Amino acid sequence: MPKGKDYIATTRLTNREGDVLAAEGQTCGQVPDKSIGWLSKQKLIIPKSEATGGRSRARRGGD
Amino acid sequence: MAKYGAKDVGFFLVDGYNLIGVSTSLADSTSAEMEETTGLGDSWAEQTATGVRSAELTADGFYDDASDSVNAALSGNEATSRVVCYAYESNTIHKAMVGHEGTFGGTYTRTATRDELTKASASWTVSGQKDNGMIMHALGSETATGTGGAANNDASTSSGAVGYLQVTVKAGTSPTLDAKLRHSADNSTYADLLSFTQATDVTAERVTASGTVNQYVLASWTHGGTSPEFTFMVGFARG
Repeated sequence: MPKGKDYIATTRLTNREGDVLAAEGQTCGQVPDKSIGWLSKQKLIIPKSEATGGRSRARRGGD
Repeated sequence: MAKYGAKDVGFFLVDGYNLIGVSTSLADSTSAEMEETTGLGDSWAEQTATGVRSAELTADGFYDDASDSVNAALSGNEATSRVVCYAYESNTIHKAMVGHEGTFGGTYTRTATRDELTKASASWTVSGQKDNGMIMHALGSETATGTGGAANNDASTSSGAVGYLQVTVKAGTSPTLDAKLRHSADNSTYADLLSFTQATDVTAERVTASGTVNQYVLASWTHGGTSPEFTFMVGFARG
């Protein structure tokens, strides 16, 4: 099962009570594993590898 | 199914003014624009829907010059777009509410008659759509940050959503209210669906979101300032 710690939030994620589980750009370590599937499908979270790759490409593009 | 009466009307809000106490009737109508398509050889007239719909809203009640009542809300604002919300089925979370965008008070009439209280009536032409939605925070006072109950639609939808915020009363020192609608596919983890502009006074707003709206939706609100208190309503409709 995919783990939240392997993903980065693209938007603010909260629990039902409104406590922040992950702010935009943060690792999703507090996001329940059962939520990873639908969040990933809707691009509300992305794998860390994609996020890191994107930043690396952006840095290279700026050189 | 249930029947409802005048006592069940939960609120009638025009740009943050709650006019329910001075209103005696409220009527909304939606109509489809038709074009006659009767051709040669037809023995009966034909009408075809053009696909365009329009809405109108009329209300009657008592004239009241209180600063938070009907005259302040409507007089001199006939050509101003208003945010209008009302509820026929009570002021209860997850009960139905109706919202209008681009609502212009085309006519505001005050009528004085011998042996009667002075009456006020208004009719609105709606430029845009009428949203049949549900109450996500019933009109009422909150003194602290909080979250409303989740509405379960049994499935997600893909045509966006509309949110309504109506703030009728504020109190405290430099109070602020940040209201949001959040959505979830599992009622466990939520993402922001739409956010309203921070309210600092009596106000009303209609906000839209596009794309997927997940199965569960709830309202949440964050208070700021010193001893803040807001009386507000949050409504929501799927596209």
